[in-house]
Amino acid sequence: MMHTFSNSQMIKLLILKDWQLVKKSLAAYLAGGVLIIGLMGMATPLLFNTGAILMITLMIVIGARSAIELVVNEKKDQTLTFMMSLPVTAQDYAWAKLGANLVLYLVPWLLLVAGMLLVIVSSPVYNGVIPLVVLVSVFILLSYCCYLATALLTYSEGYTTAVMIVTNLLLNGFIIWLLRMPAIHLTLEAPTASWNSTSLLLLAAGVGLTVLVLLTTAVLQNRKTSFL
Amino acid sequence: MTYGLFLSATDKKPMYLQIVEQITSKVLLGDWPAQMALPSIRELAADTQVSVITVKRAYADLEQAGVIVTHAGRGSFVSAQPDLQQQLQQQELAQLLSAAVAVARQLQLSDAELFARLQQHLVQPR
Amino acid sequence: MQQFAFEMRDISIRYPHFAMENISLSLPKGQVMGLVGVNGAGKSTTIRMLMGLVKPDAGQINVLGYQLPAQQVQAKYDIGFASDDMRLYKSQTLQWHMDFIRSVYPQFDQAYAKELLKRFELIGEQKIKGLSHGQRVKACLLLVLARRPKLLVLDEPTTGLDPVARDEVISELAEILRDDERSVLFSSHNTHDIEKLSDQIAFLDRGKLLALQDKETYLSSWSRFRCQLAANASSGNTSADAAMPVPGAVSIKRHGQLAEVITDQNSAGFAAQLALAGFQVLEQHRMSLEEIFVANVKRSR
Repeated sequence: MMHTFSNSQMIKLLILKDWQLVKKSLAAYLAGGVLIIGLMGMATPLLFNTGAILMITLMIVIGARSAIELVVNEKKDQTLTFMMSLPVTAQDYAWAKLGANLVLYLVPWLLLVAGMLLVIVSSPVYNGVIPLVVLVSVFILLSYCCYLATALLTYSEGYTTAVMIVTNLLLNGFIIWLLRMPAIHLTLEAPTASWNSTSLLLLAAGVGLTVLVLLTTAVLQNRKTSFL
Repeated sequence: MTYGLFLSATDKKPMYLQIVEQITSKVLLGDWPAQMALPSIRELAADTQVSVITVKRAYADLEQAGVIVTHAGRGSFVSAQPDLQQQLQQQELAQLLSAAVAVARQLQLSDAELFARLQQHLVQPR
Repeated sequence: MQQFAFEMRDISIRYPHFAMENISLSLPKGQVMGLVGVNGAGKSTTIRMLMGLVKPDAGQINVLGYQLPAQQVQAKYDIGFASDDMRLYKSQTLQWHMDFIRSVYPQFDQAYAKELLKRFELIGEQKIKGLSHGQRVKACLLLVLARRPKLLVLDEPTTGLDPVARDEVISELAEILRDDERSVLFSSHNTHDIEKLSDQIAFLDRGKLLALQDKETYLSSWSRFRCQLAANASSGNTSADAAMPVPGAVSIKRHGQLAEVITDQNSAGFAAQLALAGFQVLEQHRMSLEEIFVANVKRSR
């Protein structure tokens, strides 16, 4: 670990490198996100729901593309050899990968969530949907961490895609389950957001699991002795 | 700058030998005068694109033949001997003569026949 | 001041279908080593172990005085590595890669890099995906050469290059010979390049070192003789006998009264052995590294 921090210079450069590789597409995604948020801001349920579905798709796509582009493709496109020749160890490289992916997903995710919340609060849309929006966003974040972990630990496009598909299915199930839940369901159309013990528990669980997945990944990655 | 050495990869002769012969003929012809400083081994290696070890071997052979002299720390120089040119030409003559004898033997000429051939060449106008 | 560009001692590594046992390889500073061998002989494995990319099961590796893998980061600041399976980022330009390398390595020489762009006929603003194979190889080499690293480790640097590109690359590699502080290890199927530029030759086959010697001695020790069999020798059309009638011979091929004998222990003593065995030498030839390669591999099969 000590060594990792002494090589933080290289890790920063690697994260910067990954940023430069995706910044164009991230900008495009965020632009799309702004439009979708605008859509959600229209008061009608149809437009809001359409926007919501588009937003869920967008958040998933950003994550999927990032994980594949920055992780799996490094092995597939054989740029990994180029990276390995740099003054880094396998652990440094793994830390940089984890860091880059996290930052490059969390920033747009936070922006999009904040954007949605802002629009909900400032528009005629019922504030009661806020817990639902937050919980679904957190679930999407958790899903991303799961397939990011898969990508980082297996470097396999096959496994990563499989985990993506599973988490997507679970997401659909989760949304349906949430909508049926009386605690959520009854307050959806309320003018104020209300959190009760169930929804707060779910929120805590979502955040907790996300942190757990990330920590496990970090620990397992640190044991690597070779680059793949 | 290749110091005027033209090394051929397809020549059957090994590189070090090509270097030895070409430097020797430069000295013989006077292109490289006595006491002239030779390029350092590494410089020549880089310019002719051959390994350092090959140039080292060539310089060692040249020194043994008396064509060049190496002073530790200062490099190699063309021999200062006044009769170097003559010496080298004598060596060349000796080599040509023994080569002629070898071919003659292959052709199974007798010594007398070889002398006769030599006479022919001596008599011929240049 | 360390003496060696690298030292590998008693290296062993085992893969499901390939193994290297107790291999020792070292290169003094300021020299060039050529690694020769068929595909799968262990050249790339050796190179990867040297770069700290693969960890051997046993043995020690020191590069530029640094112990691998513990000090691989410090070592890699002074090593330049390029392999034929290395790829750059397709969506980025060559200039982007140069800027990236410059941000990593303080000793990146911008002026020299510009010069190399010209010599290699590459365009900085061109995206990698638009480069041909040869241009891509040259691009990788440019990124490595511009740093003037103390040790250059190259896996097939000229493979797949057209003759002009190959000449450009060899010219740049030859420039390194000027500096007695810089060393090179390269593997190549172009035995001609190895023959020209190497000071040391390491010959690998099936994970074993068939030869490790300075080039001049190695090349001088191999020789091919065209012989005529003396009248009392048995005639026949068979190639090499089960037991070599001439000690030191690698292969003997006979057709009627003529024979071709290859040896890797060329000396006056060997010539005498030939005469004793009834071979009258008609011609003697020095062998090229390519001919030696084939003969050496054939003999160990």
